[in-house]
Amino acid sequence: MKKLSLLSTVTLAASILFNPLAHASQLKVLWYIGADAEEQSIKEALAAYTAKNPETTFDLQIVPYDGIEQKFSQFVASGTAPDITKTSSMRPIIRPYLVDLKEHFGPDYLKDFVPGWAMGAELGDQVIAAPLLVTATGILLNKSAFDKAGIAIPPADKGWTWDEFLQAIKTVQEKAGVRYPLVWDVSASRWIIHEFQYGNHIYSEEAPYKVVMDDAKWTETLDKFIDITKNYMPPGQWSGSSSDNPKQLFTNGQAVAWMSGSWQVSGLAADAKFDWQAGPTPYGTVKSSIFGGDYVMAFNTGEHIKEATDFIKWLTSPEGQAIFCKAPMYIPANLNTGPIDTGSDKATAALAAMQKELADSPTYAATDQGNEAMQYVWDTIKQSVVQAVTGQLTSAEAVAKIHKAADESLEASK
Amino acid sequence: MTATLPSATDIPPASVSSPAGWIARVRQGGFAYLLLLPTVGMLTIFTLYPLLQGLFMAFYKRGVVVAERVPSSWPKFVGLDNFATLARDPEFLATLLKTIGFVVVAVPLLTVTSLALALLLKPVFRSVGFVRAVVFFPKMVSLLIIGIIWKWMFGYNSGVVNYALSLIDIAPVPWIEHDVMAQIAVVVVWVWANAGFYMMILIAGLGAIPDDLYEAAAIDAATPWRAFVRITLPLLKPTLALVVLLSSVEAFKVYELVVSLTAGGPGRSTVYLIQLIYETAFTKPNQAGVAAAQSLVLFVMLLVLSVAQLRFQKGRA
Repeated sequence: MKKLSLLSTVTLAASILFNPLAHASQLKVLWYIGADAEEQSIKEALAAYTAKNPETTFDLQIVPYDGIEQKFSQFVASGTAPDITKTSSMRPIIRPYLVDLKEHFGPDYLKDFVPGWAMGAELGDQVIAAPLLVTATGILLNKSAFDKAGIAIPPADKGWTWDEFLQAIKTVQEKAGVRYPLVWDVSASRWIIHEFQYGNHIYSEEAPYKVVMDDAKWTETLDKFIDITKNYMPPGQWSGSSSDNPKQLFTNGQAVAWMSGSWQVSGLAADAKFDWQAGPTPYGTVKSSIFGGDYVMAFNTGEHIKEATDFIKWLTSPEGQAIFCKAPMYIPANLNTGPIDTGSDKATAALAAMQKELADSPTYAATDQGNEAMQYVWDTIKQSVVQAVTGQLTSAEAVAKIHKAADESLEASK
Repeated sequence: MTATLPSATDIPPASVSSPAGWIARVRQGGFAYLLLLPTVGMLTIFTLYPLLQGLFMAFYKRGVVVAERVPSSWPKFVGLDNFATLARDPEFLATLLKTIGFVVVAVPLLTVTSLALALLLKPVFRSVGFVRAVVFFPKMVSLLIIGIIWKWMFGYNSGVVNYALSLIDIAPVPWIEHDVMAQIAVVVVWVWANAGFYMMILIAGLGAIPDDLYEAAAIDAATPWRAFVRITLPLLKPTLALVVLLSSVEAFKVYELVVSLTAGGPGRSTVYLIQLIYETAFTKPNQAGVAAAQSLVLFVMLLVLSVAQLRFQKGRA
């Protein structure tokens, strides 16, 4: 019996010593889902990495996006931060807890990425996150309805002004028998594209940052938007309390046009029972989309910082980007990633059109979004705009509230 | 074995206030105090400590989470500044008034509805248990879920209610997209969600009223309305007072239902105090002290309401 016990102990010790996985690291990964197929794509990316690096495994936790900022701050305060997480912003409370990727990847790391989005990953001379994917806000059109109404969609290089566009979708709605001309995501970043298209933006494009809002021009543009909500969108859609989902209305063929973004392409490719296309997005005085997207970051409080940064470097490399961006049809943040094979010509064309609109956008379409202070303004923007739309504030009062929040945001983000 | 707490009469009066008397008292009821310990411990950890923590937070400028490496989140004593901020904040004052308005409208409506249901369902008839269970059912469902269900039902384009109206050629109604309609919707759904619970309390109260009184009234040819006014209401007052007190506290704390039903909209027309406290604490940087001060104002209001109501009840008794 004693011999048997001794043998077991020796076998166990030997297996620990010589097993290649004995020193394996399991990384805790916290992830929220932005598009229907993203859960599948992140699992595929993690599996592909583990296949190449068997010593690194992952404990993936899918979490809702809502409240993610509070979760991050609680994690850092309680010392329970994950190793890796996806994020759309890096608020001041978590910044001292993030790995400076420049130390691991070198000073030129961000040169491979979409410049507007890469800028948001920098904090002074540090790089506190890696750009993962880029999104473009823009208009999606029910092409079948346009064809039925006999109205031509202009080519992307010509485009159409807001007046031309609104007239066209109204005609299409009437002739094709579609319920609404336009639906628009109730979101601050989807709204601000309208201001961008009239040359209005919040911050200066270069440091030292200051608020450059021209309140009179902003108010004039907000009035135009309120007019659009009243005459072209479902009643109460921008009231802040509507249960009507723009995605469902457009996907079910009840709207001629939908102001949303590139992350909807995979859903439309799978579910829309009509012909559709992305853009051209209408313009006021300026043609503009708006940069958005996500980053991936590592916390410096974990035990596996080297393994975590190695994975981030791979995920944001052309190889990792091709795997991760394929199923949800995301625009890769890494410029060296070749065209993503979406398996759908329509989806590929839509992504290309939106990428082109991003590339043609003014600098502030990236710098406003990339400015860390902006995180403190989004809530106020949405509240103020829905209050203006519902008549609880005048347009001038709503813009004044946004301006005040912008002024305060620069101090809060220090 | 039965363990009972010693009553003051078990110990000589002179010794109760002396240290030796306290020790004797604890020794005598040691086991009973031991049994109380888990409850007292839980109350201390989960009620008393957060209450005191909230009280202290109201006098500091700090983040809702304090991170060691982020000095701006560290607590800084600011005295009464947070309360002064509240007094100057028009949004807080407007929200406070709106919350009081909600309580003033919703609580009487809930009380009357619950009483009507109790009067209807107190008599024992076939399947009364089932009907009572159906009316009580919403209380067993989370208010968050109730809000989501009603949001779907009230949907402008795809809601069941507007669909039903369309069948009889009535144009869709913006139930939750119009500010007055949305406030009415919140009150109606809140009453619907809570009426069953208070109905059960009132049925118990009605059951305690002796039948002899109604028989005597019938002999005197009193009408049912007169019997209700002269017998039911006066004898039900303690139960009604309890219903008003409990439902007022619930109404002041209304949050999950509103967030899932209207998200505080349209605009900000259904934002009540708890939502404002949440937004202040969690969406504004380093404003947890202000949020704590807002909570303290709510706490004091509820305390005053409870004390006033209990005194009123005691005076009536």
